[in-house]
Amino acid sequence: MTIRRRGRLAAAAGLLALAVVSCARPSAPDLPVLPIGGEFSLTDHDGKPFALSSQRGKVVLIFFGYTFCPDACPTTLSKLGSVYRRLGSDRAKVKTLYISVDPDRDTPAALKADLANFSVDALGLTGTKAEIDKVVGLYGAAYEIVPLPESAAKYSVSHTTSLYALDASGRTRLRFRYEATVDEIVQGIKAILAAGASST
Amino acid sequence: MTRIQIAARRIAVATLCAAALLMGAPSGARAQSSAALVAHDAWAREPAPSRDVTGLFVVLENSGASPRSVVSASSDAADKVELHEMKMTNGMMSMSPVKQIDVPAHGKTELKPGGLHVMLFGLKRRPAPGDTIAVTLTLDDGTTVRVTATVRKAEMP
Repeated sequence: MTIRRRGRLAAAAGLLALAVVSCARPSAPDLPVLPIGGEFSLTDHDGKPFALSSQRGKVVLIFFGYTFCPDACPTTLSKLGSVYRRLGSDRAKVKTLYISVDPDRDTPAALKADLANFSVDALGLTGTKAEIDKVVGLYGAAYEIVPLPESAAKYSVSHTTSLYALDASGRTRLRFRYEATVDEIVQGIKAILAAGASST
Repeated sequence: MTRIQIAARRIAVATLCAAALLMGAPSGARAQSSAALVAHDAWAREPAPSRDVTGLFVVLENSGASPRSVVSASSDAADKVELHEMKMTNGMMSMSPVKQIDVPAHGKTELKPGGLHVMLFGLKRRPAPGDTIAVTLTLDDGTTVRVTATVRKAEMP
């Protein structure tokens, strides 16, 4: 490779880097649009049809779980309660969707009753297995029904525990691990709100 | 009275007090024990309104020279009590019954959210935050440990 070619390559790389930086600047470079998610329809905890598009304009938090779950789901809901308290006046801009992966046991009424225990602005969502499987697939989540013939639980549902954060246009911007702290989630929500405010 | 005598008297009083505390500990006290296994800081989560199921958490400390295991549990407050474990494998959270919960010699095992816990099925009465639930743990040597757990609100700070 000649020195001139190397120079040209370096210049091209520099230009490309500049282009990437300048393109990314308006839409917050640390908040890419993740290639997961999308529109879906389910049934809400009042038994009414629900479409994700009805939440445009809000940051939407999504997680999958089931009310029989004695541990992971109440832990996530408790954590979100703290997140809402920390958000202050921004809490009105955030909606949580708790999507059941156990439609046999989780009736809309059961979801509604359970959410009443938590100070989270949340809608419980359920549907047919096919409807739920579609949403699970869209978000790259997963679950598995595990028969427990010797347990009074009869079966348990193993499931992924990520929390997804969508922007006001319904695009997935962040995915939090189960271990994410209240601080991390609050900062993520504020970043999404800030990115939305600067792009309008 | 010499200094040594005073010290000896103080130690004797302290020992007597400790013994009295251990012997006379009521069932609702913070620590509950069998021979070598002590249970403390027991709590249960307020059950979901649509469920008669809840999880109970406790710290088990074994002061003995032999390892001990909890092999079963029972309670007048529930139809069935099981030993369970939550596990995170490849990002999937799963819950499954376990045959026993081991407590090492001179060690402790903590039953806590995200790990081992006691599951109560068919709660006969819906406990409110502040109520207590009594559970008896049976150990591999046949002895039992009575655990009194305080119910905490489902949403925790």
